[in-house]
Amino acid sequence: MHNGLAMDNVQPLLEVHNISKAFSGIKVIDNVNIQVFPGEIVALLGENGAGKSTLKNVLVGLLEPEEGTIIFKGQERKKMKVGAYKIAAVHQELSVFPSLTVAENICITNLPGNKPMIDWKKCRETAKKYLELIGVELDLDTTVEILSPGENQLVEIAKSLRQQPDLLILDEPTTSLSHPERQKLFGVMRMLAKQGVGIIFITHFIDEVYEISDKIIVLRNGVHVGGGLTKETPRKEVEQLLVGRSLLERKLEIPTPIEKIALKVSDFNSDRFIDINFEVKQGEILGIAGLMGAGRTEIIESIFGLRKTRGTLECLGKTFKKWNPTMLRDMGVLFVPEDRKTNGIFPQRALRENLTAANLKKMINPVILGIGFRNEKKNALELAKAQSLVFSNIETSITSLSGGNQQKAIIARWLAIDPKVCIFDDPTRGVDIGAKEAISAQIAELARNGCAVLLVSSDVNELTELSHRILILRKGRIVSELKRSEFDAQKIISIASTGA
Amino acid sequence: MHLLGRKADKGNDIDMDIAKGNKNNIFARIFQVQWMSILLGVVLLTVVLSILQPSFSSFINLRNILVQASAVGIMAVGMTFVIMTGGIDISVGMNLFLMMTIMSELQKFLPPIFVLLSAIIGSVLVGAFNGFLVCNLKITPFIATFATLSICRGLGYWIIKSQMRSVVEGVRVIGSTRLFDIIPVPVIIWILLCIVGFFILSTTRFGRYVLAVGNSVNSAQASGIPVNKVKFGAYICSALCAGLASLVYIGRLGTVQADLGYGLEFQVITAVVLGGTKLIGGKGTIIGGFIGAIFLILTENGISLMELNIFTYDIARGLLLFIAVVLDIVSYTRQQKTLIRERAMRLRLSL
Repeated sequence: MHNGLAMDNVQPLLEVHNISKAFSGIKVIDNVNIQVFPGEIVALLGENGAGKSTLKNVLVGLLEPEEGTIIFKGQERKKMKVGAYKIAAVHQELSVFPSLTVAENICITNLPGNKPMIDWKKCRETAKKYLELIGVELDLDTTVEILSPGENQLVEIAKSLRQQPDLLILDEPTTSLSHPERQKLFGVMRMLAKQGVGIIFITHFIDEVYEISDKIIVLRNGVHVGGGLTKETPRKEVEQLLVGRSLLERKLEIPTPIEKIALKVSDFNSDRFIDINFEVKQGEILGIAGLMGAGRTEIIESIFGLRKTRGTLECLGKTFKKWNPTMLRDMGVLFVPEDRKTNGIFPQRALRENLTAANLKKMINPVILGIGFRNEKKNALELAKAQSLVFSNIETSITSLSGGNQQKAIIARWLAIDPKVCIFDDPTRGVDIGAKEAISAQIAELARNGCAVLLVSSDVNELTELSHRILILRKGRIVSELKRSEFDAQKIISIASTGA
Repeated sequence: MHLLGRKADKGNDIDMDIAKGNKNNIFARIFQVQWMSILLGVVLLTVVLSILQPSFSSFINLRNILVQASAVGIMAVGMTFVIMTGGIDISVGMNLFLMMTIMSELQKFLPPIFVLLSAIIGSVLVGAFNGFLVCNLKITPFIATFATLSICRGLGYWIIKSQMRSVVEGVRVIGSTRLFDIIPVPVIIWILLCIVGFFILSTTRFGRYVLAVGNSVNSAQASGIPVNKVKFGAYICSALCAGLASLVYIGRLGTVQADLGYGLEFQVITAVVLGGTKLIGGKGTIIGGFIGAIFLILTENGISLMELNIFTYDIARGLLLFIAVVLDIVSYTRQQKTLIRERAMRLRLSL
């Protein structure tokens, strides 16, 4: 659309030369070169863990690159400084301040008024102006803590626009937005691009890339593997670049469920979801689809007893009004949480301990009552082998494993309890394609063995491939239920984002 | 959660509540103010004490109470800043003690005005040292200020040895004089400081940044807020207030000896937390610390009225700190519940 600008005689807004960044010896971005011209919308694509967010953090100055140079507006920099240049970012991990008001949050990067005083009237006016720009009505004086995730994201976007940047970096800005909100944001992006702002748009949705971007950059394992002008890059090619090889059409065999209800959720209510009712039969895989912030994680965390909820849970013939994770675990409920880094692994502990953590009783033979760790290593090794984990030494920290292997280790940890009900929250997020296939196969296998499986995933293809039924969530409500014969990825996405 | 449940059965009520924004429920709003419960406590204690002892509510006595509360109150202003950033400063008591010993030493050579000034400068230096430990060396605030506490105490003992020194009239001026012979200067300083602190918090960038840093250090960094400078500033505020309090203290006591300022930091923290400032940071008020400090002195008055054993003071202070922290947790969970309820209502209304 604006490629006319990107000709030889126009100086690039941003040039990144051979940037590398490593965390504890592992290169997260490796020799990346990119260029952004004024008025250009660049889509930055990559699977989770490909280095997109790291690149963003280097560009805004939150991280210091080990090697390479950044040239912004013709000035060479070794390191950026937050807020020093006209670069603004919407961070995926939201950077709002819960107990500040909407207006304060939007203006915080540069509060109006003569130093050191703040001009509150102007602050509110400014906030209002930028909220109107993206077509949002919010009470300026409410504190942000009571807002929904989508509203938080909108505040964050308004905050970034408020900085009137020359370069705007949007890190998955649309995950919690509804369809109209998305369109509004795209409108603003186009308008900014016309004014000569360069935009880096980080996203997972390939549709969005083709809708809005001028140029595509694909990162894989921290390496810039390809891309080009959007209109010259076919979709198939992008998909292949993303995963590193062509996607094979494969069909997983899923078993027929047994007519016996293993898990039943009745009248679940909380601040993140409303009137949730469903049941899962033995051997059945129930998929749950929904955008980020639709309440997926909250619902299944509530089922596992990690959140306060009103409602009744029936699990393997027992009815609970009150329950906790330990009770469920002892009945054979497996739970793989969404955020592996903070909720899944014990990062400072060895792989061995990570593998045996869910069922020490079974994995360890004490020397005398309660003392000693006999056979722990042996059992852990067996588990690791059964899951074909790739690791150098079972005593090294689990963080030395790749994301996919870490996830497989967490599943292995739970297999030790001999599960009957399995709850997976986005189990293949941020794992490589090989591990992804292995995990999918594992889930199907569990169902074949008679487990009831509850599968939440952001990957619609994974859901349609594995599930018997799919529930679609939107703003905390179940808005639709599809049978396997009715599965259609496009339809699911559209219901999840617009409700129809 | 139960409230959500009860209301869920009558959907219309919720709509009504949201439409009115719960704003007409004055009682609910008043009790959302963080320092309301402690104010109630102060009123109650005052009533009880005046019944027990009629002379309690005399002007002179009430004025005395304000004077007694002023040192802790002044330090509470600075402490509020530190706690709001999510830190803590337990060195204030010994900072005050060190400044008093320094003044007792310097009064031999310098005119009083310079003696007072040197205490102010000295206390700020101590604050800068705290700031350096916390912001530059990234030491946990509790440990960093604990080290400072010990250093200050040691230096103070070294200066004062085991003497008891009297202070010249000029140095006592701030703590012992009254404006128009009616209003004690310490009280004026205290109230002025509260007003200044209130304005800094509500109208200046620094004030807003203090809140923001207490809310989330990561977000603050991503928003380009100079996190280290803000924290550093908070420790300076706290130390400066300790310096001012030392001027008040030395004037009131007229002598300097070892063991002064012992345990003062915990009284200050108790006052701030009783006033509703959150120990995890990000929320708090200056007025809360003001009322908290008065509450502390009132309880001590009550104890002396009952002619209890001298050790009861320490037990009472300990209990109060404990109660303050428990209240902090209780009010936090209560607030979370309100938040959950409000979010649930918003969710029900959204489509």
